[in-house]
Amino acid sequence: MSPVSQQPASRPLGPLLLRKKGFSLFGITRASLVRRFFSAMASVAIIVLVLIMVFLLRDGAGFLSTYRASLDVYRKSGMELCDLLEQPVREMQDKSTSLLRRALAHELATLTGEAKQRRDAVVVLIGKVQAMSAPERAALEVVLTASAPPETLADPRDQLRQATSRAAMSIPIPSVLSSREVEQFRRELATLTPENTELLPMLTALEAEFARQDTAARAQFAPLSAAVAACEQAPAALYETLVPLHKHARNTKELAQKRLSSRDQPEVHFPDQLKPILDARETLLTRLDDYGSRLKQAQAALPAETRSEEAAELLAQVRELLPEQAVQTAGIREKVLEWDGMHTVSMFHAALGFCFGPHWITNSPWQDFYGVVPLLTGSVLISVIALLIATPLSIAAAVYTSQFASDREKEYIKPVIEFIQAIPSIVLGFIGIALLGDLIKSVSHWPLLAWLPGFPIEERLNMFNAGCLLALMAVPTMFSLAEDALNSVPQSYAAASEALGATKLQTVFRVIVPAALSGILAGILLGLGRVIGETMVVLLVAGNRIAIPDFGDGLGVVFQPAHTLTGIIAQELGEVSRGSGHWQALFMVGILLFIISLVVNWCARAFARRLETPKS
Amino acid sequence: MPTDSPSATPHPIISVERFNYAYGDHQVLFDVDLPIRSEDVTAFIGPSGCGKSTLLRSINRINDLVDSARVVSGTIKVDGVDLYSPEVDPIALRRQIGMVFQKYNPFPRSIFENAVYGLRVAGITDKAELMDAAERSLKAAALWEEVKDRLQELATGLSGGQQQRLCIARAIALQPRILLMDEPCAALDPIATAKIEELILSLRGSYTFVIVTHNMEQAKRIADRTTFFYKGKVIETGDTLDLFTKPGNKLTEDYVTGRLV
Ligand SMILES: Nc1ncnc2c1ncn2[C@@H]1O[C@H](COP(=O)(O)OP(=O)(O)OP(=O)(O)O)[C@@H](O)[C@H]1O
Ligand SMILES: [Mg+2]
Repeated sequence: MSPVSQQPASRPLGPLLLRKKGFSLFGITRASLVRRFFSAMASVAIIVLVLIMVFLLRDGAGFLSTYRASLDVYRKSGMELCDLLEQPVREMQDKSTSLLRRALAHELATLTGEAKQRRDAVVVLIGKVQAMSAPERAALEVVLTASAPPETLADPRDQLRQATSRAAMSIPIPSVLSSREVEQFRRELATLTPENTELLPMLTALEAEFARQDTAARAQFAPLSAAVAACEQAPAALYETLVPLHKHARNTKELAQKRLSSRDQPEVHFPDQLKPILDARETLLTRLDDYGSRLKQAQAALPAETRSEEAAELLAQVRELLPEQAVQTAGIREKVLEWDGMHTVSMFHAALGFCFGPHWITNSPWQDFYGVVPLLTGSVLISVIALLIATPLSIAAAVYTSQFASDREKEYIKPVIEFIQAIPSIVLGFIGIALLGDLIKSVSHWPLLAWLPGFPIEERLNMFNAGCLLALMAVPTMFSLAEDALNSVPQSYAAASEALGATKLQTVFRVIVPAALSGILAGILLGLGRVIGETMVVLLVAGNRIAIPDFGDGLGVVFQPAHTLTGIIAQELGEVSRGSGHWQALFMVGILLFIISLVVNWCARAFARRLETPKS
Repeated sequence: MPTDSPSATPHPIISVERFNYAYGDHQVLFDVDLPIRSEDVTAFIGPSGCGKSTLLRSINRINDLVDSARVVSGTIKVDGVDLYSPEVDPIALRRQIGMVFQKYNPFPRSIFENAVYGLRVAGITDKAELMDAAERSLKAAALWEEVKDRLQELATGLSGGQQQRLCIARAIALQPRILLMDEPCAALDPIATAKIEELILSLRGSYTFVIVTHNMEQAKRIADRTTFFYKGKVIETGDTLDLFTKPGNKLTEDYVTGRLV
């Protein structure tokens, strides 16, 4: 042992163990002050969160009772009964008549197809020639608007004529036109000037020819035309009966609303008000039965034979559809009979209406509905698209960066990906509108890609477009978290794996990625949280159609426009009056969003917590 | 100045010849000459930082994972083949030369999956064959009795000593010829250490062991041959008993008597 100096041992030890006097405030020491300061800062965050919840709940809480009251009036005024009858009938009607009309169009086309083609060809040709001589036309127009003396007009006009006939000579002409017609066409084209915008005589003749053939064809297909008309007319009587009832019901509703806004108004006695509508119920039901039998007549009147295959197929569909609709009619009848206008609407009914209602209809002169399903499906579909795109992208990038990239590559990959986060979402919205929308649309029109579901697409602004941009926004979050998770896998796993004869790839995919899986999942979920909450991009790019997307398209559904939970709040909150039912409904949507985000974040944390003890 | 000349070695399976090794510009091994005899247990001893692990990790080329690591000059031959020649496939090499690390590092998967990992990455998928191999290697590592009913449980739930024996089982499942162990007992308590030593003694003769250790007693108990390293150089190598009882070098003597740190 080395010699120890005697000095410290000679000092008494006891006093050294006592607490020293130092700075203190009301008996609180510096250390505990600092601790309290930090704990106060931490609690601010919690308090703010609680305040937000309270605030959301305060404005949203009234929603259910307001909505219940509104639905109650809707029922007791008889509006519900009208809708019960009318809406399903209109839906059935739309379906069957559109099929029949398409069938008729195909049939007519078998006879008038050529005439129509010839007319269309000429219209297209004229358009093309005009486009080709556009510069000369513009020049002439300039001179004309300058009201120059007539003699100076001769030259530009001559040039236009020459340009037009040059274009007419060079343009390829489809074979539906005979050579004589081609000559005539070229001659007539030359007469086109800015002052002379009359239809070419040739086009007029072709139009007339088409119209004549069309009429003749319609006569030929009289049975089908009659069936179409019968189907179209089937519910006319029903609708007619409903008109005065509509008026009466709306009147009742107005009275009820007046009473609601001021106590001076007389109270509405609903049973009395409802009486005329209940009295009409029998008539309505006869009309409904009448509609059913008309459908059957239309069915019987369908021609057995068709000229075109497409029409045959469509008619087969109609033949299946009409009996189904007759059954549906019976269902409607039952519902109308069961309907009890005096049965007060319950809170539960209102809550169901919000959570599962298929319609979000506001500012309607008839009745507002706050069903969240169309918005929720929009939000969910867009998020799913975004996740499907962003997940492979960001995970692949993270795996590459953390496992394979050289230090120099890392140096630019990471900042670039993280920079995406800095792009303002409104700018991404611009990109979606100005660039991506057109791009997707034009790509979808490539004949080579026609086999893809939903292609070719018509809407520039749709869920897919929004999903792509949101994917871009989610990538940085997902990438960073996945990369962190991969980097935090102990180096010893890689060494152990390679020491057992695994290749680098095997090591990465069998050991490192599985070990980082929970971190990666947490990243995906946080990305999802970000995507669900994003507003600007979806508002600008998703197309904002408030309707449940038509899943009949299969995967093509993603190319339909939709509205979202976030988008609807941003769009409508500024326009509604504070405290109204609509306002409260928007707050409810906010609460729903809040809950979704909480759940997603909670799941993410749960996954992140599993990071320490990953399972096989 | 080695006491044992290479020519006196009966059959060196590994022979390190004038091996110089560096991390970047920092050379850590200098002119190492060392024959390692087949089927022996060879211990590497020496103060911290003298390059024992580095030499060990060069023998299965696991140091290839370190970007800055490089051979400056010299060779390591295994059965006459220069390990650093371009014809050598490091993957195949590592299947023949297993390694057990200082800190037990089973994968966060089931015990079974750990035991058969080397076989799986070698492309073996036959369930029965894998099961056989797992049983064989776990038995060899004296772990079978303790884990046979919980093969599907997470390996990281085992005790430290069990985890280290699982790592040994994982290495011998590939039936390598050589096993490299870098301070395999450093993270274990005396009882677990005793089990591992017992295991090594029971496997002696079936494998060529190279073991880095800081524990002189351990070296005496398990090693046939011992090599003493100092500052990147081999100072002395010889039969364990000779090296500890009559060291031929002052440094060795100081070290084995605890006067050199
Ligand atoms: N990955 C590395 N990069 C750079 N230098 C390293 C690396 N690994 C080891 N070194 C250096 O190489 C020298 C030898 O290290 P090595 O790990 O081989 O020593 P050791 O004898 O195993 O020591 P210990 O007994 O402490 O494990 C040390 O100076 C160390 O700093
Ligand atoms: Mg070491």
